[in-house]
Amino acid sequence: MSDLIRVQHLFKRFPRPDGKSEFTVLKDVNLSIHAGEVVALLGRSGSGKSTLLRIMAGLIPPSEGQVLSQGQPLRGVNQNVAMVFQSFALLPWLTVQENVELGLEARGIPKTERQQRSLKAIDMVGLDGFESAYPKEISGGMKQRVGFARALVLEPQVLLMDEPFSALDVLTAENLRGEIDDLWNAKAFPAQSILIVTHNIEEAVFLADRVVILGSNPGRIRGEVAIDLPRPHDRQHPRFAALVDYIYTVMTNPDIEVTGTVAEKTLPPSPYAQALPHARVGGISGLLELLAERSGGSEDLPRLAERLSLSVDDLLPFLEATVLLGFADVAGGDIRLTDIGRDFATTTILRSKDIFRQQALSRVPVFHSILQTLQEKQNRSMRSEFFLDLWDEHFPHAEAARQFATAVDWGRYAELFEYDADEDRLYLPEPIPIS
Amino acid sequence: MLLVWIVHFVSTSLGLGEVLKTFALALLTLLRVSLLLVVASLIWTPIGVAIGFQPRLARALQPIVQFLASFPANFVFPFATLLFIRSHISLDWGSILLMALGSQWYILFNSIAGAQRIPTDLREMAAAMGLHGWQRWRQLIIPGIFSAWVTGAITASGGAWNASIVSEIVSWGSTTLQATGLGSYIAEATTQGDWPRITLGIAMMSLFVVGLNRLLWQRLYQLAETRYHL
Repeated sequence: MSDLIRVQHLFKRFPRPDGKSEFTVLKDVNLSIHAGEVVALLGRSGSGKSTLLRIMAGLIPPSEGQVLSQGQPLRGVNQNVAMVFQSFALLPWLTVQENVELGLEARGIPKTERQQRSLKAIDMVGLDGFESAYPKEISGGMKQRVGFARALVLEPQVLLMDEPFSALDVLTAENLRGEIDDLWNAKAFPAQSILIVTHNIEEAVFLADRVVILGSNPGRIRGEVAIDLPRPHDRQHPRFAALVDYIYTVMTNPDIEVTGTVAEKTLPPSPYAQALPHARVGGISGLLELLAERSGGSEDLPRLAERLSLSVDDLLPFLEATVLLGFADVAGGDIRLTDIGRDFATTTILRSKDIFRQQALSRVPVFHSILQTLQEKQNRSMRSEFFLDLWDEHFPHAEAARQFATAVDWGRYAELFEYDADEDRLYLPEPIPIS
Repeated sequence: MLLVWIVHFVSTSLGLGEVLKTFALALLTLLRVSLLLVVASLIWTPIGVAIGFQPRLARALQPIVQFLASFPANFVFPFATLLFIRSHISLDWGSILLMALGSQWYILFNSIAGAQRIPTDLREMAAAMGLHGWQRWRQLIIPGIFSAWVTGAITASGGAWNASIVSEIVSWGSTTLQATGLGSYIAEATTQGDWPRITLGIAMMSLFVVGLNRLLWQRLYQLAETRYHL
C-alpha cells in the first residue's frame, strides 16, 4: 500500500496572545494515509485534530517536521486533497452548481467539462434539480451535500472531512453519513481515501477502517484502533459495541495506553431485544383452558386452529406466548400443557395471576427489567416514553409501540405494574409484588 | 412648500438658462466624484483587503486609518495648491485629488472592515479550492466586501460632493485656482453673497445627491442586502 499522505515528526506551535511565549498544539505527530482506507482522527477539543487536518491540506504550515504528499514535501496548498467543512463554507452568492465548480475553475478546466463534471457530482450526492438554487434556499443537510459535491468533483486522492456531520441535526447527519458510507462501499467513490476528523466515537467506528486517537494538551497521537468489521459496519454487531466501548474508555482516561487490542466482549442481550408475542392474556388463558379440557392436555395444532376458527398464523402468537411463559410445549405438530400450564388454567383467578406473574418474571427478562426500573425510582413510576425508547433501539417504532402495549397487558394482568394512560406512565401498585 | 419657493425664487431672479448652466456644472462635478470613487476604490480596496485579512496588521492600522479619515483635509489644501501651481496642474483635475484627501479613507476603512467580516471558513475554503488571482476577487472578495464597499462609497461620495465646494476653488497667496464645477459655483456665489445663486447651487447639489441615492446607492444597498449578504 502506498502512502498518499505522510506526516513526519510534525509539531505545531502557536504564539500566545501575549506574543512572548508559544503553546504547542501538536507534538511529534506521525501519520500515514494509505490508498483505499478510511481513517478517522478522533479527539476531544484541544487535541489539535482540525489543525492537523489543515496542515495536511496545506492551509497552515507546520512549525517543525513535514508533510509528504505522494512522497513529495508539501509546499502551499495540497492539490491532491479536497476538503469538506463543518460549516459547509458555501459562497452564498453562488448557485449550487457554481459552488461545485469553484475548484474546477481554479484548476483551469474549460467550461463545458466543468458543467459536465459538476452536474455528475451534484447527481451523485442526490441534489439533482437543485443546480440553480442558492445556498440560503436549501436545508443544512443539502448544503453539506453541496460541500461533498464540491470536494468530490475534484476527484481528490484523499477526501479530508472536518466534522462534516456535526452541524446537522441527528437524523440528517445519520442519513448523509449512511449515504457517504454507501458510496464508499460501492467502490464508486471519487477519492482513493478518506480522512475524517470527528469527536463522535460511533461515527468514527461506523465510517473508519482505522481510528487514530489523539490526546489533548498538547495534541499527540495516542494510538490507533483497527475497526476489524466487514463493511458496512453493523451497529448491531457485538464487536461494534465492544470497539465503541473500548474507545470510549480510552478517551475518558487520558492516561491509558492505547494498545488497539480490543477484547471481545459478550454483552448480555438487552431484555428489550426479545420480542414479546402479541397475544393478550385473555386469549392465552382461553387457549390454555381449552387445552385443559382435552384428555392429556394435548391437541393437534391444525385441529386447534380449526376449533378456534383461526388460521395457524393467527394462532401463532398465542402458541409462542404459552411456550414463552412455560405453560405449554409444542412438539411434532402438537401442543401439550405443562404442569404449570394446567395449574394456571384450572385454578382460581387470584392464584392464576400469581402463577402468571411468577412465570413472566422468571422467563421474560423484560418484566424483570421494567420492575427494577420502577423500584429504583423514588416515586415508583416512570414515563412510558422511557421504555418505548428502549424498545425503539431494537424494533421499528410501530413494533416498539406494540411491544409496549403487550407488555402493559401482561404486566397489568400479573399486577406487576399499573399503567396510567392519561399521564402515560407506568407505576408500581401497592403493595410491592413479591417476586 | 420649500421646493415651490425655491423654484419660484430662482426662476424669477435667474431664469431657466442659469438652471441649465448649474445642471451642466453639476454633471462636471459628478464626473469628478465618480472618477474619484473609481480611482480610490481601485487603489484602496486591495490595500484595505490585504490589511483586513491580517488580523494583527488590521488591529495595528485601524486607529491610524480612523485618524486619517477624521483629519480635516483642508489643512493640507494650501500645500496641495502650491504643488498644483508649481507643477502647472489644472485644478479641473487637481480638485479631484483635493476632494479625495478627505473622502478616500471611507473606502479604505470600509474595505478593511468588509474583509474582516468575510468568515474565516470561506477564506479557508477558497484557499483549499485553489482560488487565486481574479477568480478569488470575483467570487470571494468582491461579493464578500460588497456591502461594506457600498457603505464606504456612499460616505465617500457624500463627502466628495461637500468637499467640491472648498476644492474647486483654492488660493495660495494672491494666486487663485478655479475649476469648472458646481462646487466653485456655490463657493463663488457665497463669496459674493448672491442669494439666488447660492440657493440654486445648493438645490442643484441636493438634487444630484438625492437623485444618486435613489437611482444608484439604494439599489446597490438592496443588491448587497439580498444577493451579497453573508
